[in-house]
Amino acid sequence: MHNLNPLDLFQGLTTLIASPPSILFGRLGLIVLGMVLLYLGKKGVLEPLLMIPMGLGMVAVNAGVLFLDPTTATHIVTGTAAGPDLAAAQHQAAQAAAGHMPGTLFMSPLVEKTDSLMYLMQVDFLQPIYTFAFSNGLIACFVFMGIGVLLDVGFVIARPFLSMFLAIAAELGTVATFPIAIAFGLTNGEAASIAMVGGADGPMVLFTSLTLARHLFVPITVVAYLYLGLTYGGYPYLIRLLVPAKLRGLKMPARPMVRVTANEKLAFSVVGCAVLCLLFPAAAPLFLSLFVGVAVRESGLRYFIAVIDGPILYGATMFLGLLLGVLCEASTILDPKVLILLVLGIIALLLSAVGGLLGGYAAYFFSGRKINPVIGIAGVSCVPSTAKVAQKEVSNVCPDALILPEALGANICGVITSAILTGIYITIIPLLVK
Amino acid sequence: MNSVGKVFTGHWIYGTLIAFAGVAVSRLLAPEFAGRVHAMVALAGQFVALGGLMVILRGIRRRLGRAATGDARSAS
Repeated sequence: MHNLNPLDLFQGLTTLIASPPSILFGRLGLIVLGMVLLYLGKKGVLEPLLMIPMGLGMVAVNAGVLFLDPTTATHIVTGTAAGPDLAAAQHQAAQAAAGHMPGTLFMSPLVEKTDSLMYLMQVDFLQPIYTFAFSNGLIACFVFMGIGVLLDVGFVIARPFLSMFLAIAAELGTVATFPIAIAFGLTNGEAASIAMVGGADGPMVLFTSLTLARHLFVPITVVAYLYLGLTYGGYPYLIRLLVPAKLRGLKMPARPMVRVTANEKLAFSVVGCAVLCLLFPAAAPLFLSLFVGVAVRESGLRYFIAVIDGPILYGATMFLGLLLGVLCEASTILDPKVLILLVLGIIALLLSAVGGLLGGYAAYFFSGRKINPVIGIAGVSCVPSTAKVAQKEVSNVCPDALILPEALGANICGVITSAILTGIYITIIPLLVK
Repeated sequence: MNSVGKVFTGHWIYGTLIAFAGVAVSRLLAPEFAGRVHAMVALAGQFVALGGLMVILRGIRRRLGRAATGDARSAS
């Protein structure tokens, strides 16, 4: 009895005190950051659907660290791919066997060996969801399926060339950040993954980083989702900076209302999906997910729409946020490259917005000054945030100017071009490594 | 011509054929070459494939234009 340490009752505190300073401050910082994200989500500054589960996950995982029992700890150590430092690995194995290894009962994202995974799935409550839905990209595909159900490709089909042009222009960040990231010292896979932040499409960044930079997918995806909030908060200022009020209030000529039929949309989705899957098989899961959503919507399958639009999309979004938060454990996320990723993420988003607005200006001049250049920013594929931002900025100057249909066309086309760029990156990067 | 026939005219056939021809160039023909030629042919095939999709979109756009003109005439 006299050996009982009262702190053993509160292992969250004991592990905190026993940690090296970097982990101690990292854990405290991430607990505070989690609370801030939750608050900003509740306030609506950042996306609440993601930030509330993510923030709480971040708080819980950094607070709930305990000394793992020797069996669980040994499974984690032996199931994880060995690093280059042999002495550190031996020390960790000894620590695990003695029951002194810190860890959580949430999940162990770095474990790869099947036997250890099977054991951990019976211990860590989120491990089954992580193994069967997250690390294989299924959750990203579920979110994409939900986006597909919400998209009306009729907006793209009504003005295909304008939509395509603006979407390509708004991929400037996705393309130009790649060489910048290489110059910052990142590998090709890491550079492509962080460059995808320029597409402002969370599932795409998750899919690319899981495929090309698995060791950094946590910080890259977290950076991406944190910055997506900037499209809503920061892009309006960029629009006001780069487009004078006179042009922002430009009214576009009214176009006759002609509906693209559901059959046309469905047939285009089938041909488009087949062609894109044939061209970029590595990104075929993403294309299938997106176009199956579109096909279900256009076929009018009400029960499927209800399932994809409700439980699948919102369930996937909630678990995506929760798992991202839980992945933000100090020992996992504290990587020296995180600072570089933070800088590159913002560069990518900024370049994409500038590219989109330059595309908008080009469309304005080529159309004989008829097209409102603000539409360009909607080419950044954060559906439907950027289209709504564009319409809001135009309405602030000229309340009866309507650009939303064209902006949504560019926005939806942006999703497709981002998926194509994902396909190009995950096809080409492994070839460059060879 | 039935309603489906009215909507799905030549541009669907041409566009789909062009798109699949682009895929064939990119995925079947390109691997026959090596190095830079491989990359160039694959890229050209991808552009042709996307061009095929644009042919379909252009056709739909023209149909929409014709429908809009027809509506305007019948209204006047």
